[in-house]
Amino acid sequence: MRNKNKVTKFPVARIKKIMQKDEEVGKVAQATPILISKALELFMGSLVEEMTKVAVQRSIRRVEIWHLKHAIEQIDTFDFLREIVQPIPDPTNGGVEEETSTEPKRRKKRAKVDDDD
Amino acid sequence: MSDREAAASAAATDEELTLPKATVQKLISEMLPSDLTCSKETRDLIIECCVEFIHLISAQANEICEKDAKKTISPEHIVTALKELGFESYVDEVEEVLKDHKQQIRDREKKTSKFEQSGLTEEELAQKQQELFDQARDRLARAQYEAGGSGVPPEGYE
Repeated sequence: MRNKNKVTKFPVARIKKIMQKDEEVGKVAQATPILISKALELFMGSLVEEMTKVAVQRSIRRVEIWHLKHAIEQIDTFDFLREIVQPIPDPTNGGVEEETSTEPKRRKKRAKVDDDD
Repeated sequence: MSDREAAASAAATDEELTLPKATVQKLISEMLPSDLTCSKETRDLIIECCVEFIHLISAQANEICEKDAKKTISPEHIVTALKELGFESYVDEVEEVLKDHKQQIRDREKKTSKFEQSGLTEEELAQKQQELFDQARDRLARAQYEAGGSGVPPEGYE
């Protein structure tokens, strides 16, 4: 990870508001959103790490939402996110089709795989 | 409900309760290898995932808090929630943050009590500080004279 001296942090007050949007959630100790901020940082790290693996696997330069979807589908602890990514279409058919640039496709490229019929 | 109150409660809609894009973008850039970029769509999706994560942990911690017969969600409830949801690998660093936070509070209390224990008023402390400044200035003037700086000896020099 680059920049080990990073001080970018999530806004603690905002985290508390997000928590309390759930009507079931009542009072929250002062330190609690601070801990969640740290957990969130680690969570984002895991998400980005998995997303990066998919990107590297497919040799692409720009991470798109279907890469994130694929990453989420591979990790058990990310199950709670499946609903969010479920509607995302994968134009690359799970990485089987070669990925073109993000310009509009004119012709579908075939992957260099032998077709077993 | 006054007009202002109505406006305030209207502002607390779903759209407002999200994480700042700039912060998330910065974190993503720090975490990605230098040859990869992230589309804006992906960044926004990551924000959604983060908000969902907060809800997940909060809901679990809330359940734990209720079982604990407590009314306030404590840091310990968060740690247990993380373990129960499969995020044990985060626990060490999260507990580190709790330790630092408690230490900060202790340090802050020490500073306040030091002031209270000195038994001096703010004016007396300010006066003491001025005396220290004057003494330091004298020492400097002496040192400069002895080093051959100014030709005139400082007041009271023997």
